Amino acid sequence: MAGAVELLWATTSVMARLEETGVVSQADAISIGLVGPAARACGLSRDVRNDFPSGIYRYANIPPASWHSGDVFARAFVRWVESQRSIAFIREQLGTLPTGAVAVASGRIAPDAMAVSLVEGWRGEICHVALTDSNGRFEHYKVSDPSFHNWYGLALALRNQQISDFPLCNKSFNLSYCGHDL
Amino acid sequence: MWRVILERLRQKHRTHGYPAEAPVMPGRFQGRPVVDNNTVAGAEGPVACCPTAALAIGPDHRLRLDAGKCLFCGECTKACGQHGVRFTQEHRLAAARREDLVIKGGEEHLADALNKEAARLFGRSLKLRQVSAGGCNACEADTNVLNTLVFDLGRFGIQFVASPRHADGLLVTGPVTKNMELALRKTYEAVPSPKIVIAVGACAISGGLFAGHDETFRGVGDILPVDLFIPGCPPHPWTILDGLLRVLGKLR
Repeated sequence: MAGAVELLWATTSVMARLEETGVVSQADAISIGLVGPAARACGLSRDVRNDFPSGIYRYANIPPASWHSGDVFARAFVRWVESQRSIAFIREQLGTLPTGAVAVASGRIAPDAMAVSLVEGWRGEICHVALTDSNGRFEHYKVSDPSFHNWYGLALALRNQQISDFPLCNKSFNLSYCGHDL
Repeated sequence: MWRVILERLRQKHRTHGYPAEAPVMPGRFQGRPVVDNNTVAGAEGPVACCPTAALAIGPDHRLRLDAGKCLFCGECTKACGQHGVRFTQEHRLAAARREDLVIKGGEEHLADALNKEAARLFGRSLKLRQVSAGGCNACEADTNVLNTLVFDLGRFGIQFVASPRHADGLLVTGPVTKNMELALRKTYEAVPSPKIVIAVGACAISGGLFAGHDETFRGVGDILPVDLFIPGCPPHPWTILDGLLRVLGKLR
């Protein structure tokens, strides 16, 4: 695959299409709260695995991949760098797998508690919030998907662009309708 | 230009010879389950450990497994030690009728071709609109991969399109969350008739793990008439392709 992707970056007609298309400025990315690769393509170093490390990420980290230009190229390039770093990380970790059970039974759920969980998914930050009642049963559970944060980023990327740039910008954000509507 | 040609030569021809050539499934693949015809003694353990109640003891006091609910997690085979239920390497799982997904001792129902009129209309060109109605992205990813050069869905005349107005049918994934109900209904209405609906994955068929939850339906069948059920959690891409070709009458 690497050969095909390197060919992408080396082909001027492709680069002319990707560069300076659908630009989101870093200031806009911060003010609307972009997450995931879309944020990192605006030069931000925003990654739950680094900002709130838990589990394996407390001991081993993947350096966040970012690019400054905020255009379609940046969003594609950040994904490419992330894919390579993720593969390298997985290979490295597979060499030092700990022993023990693959799955463990979960304990009783704490009563009258609120828990917040943040995970870096492939589109960005996924947040789960759970509230329990006095019997330790879920009273409310809310999931927020990265698409919820990034949809307005797509709207900003399309300002003053030609209609023919819509598919390119749309796919560079790769948003989920049902994730947004959770 | 030389770089393009060199890279093309290096990449070689990657498209699989399916359907003339049978797909090779990975060793850990859990395909079509087989249920023993006569075991009921000691079946309570495997039945109790099934997370979606796919495995049950029928009125005939024999084990039956609803492939439309099954997550293919294999907890039942661990609990019963391969006696009662086991998973084969068979990737062909799709069925045209919901009741045909219920596997009883040694029976098999594969999806038949749609009626002749539908095969005449869609057999050579089927355009589908994909709707993820609360899916987790697993079924979507295994459907999406059919567009890649290994599977090359286009060579069978099947294509995913960007608007329901251009589509002959819907391919729906996910249990159908309440928040996606209206979007799914509107998308279905926007598809010109005659149209078909394909439910992919345990969630889309039965609600899967989310069946009975206040915020979801029990799959697409609660909202729309379904013409093809493709079980799995997620189904393997070969399972999905087999279902699509079978319903178009391209596989017998």
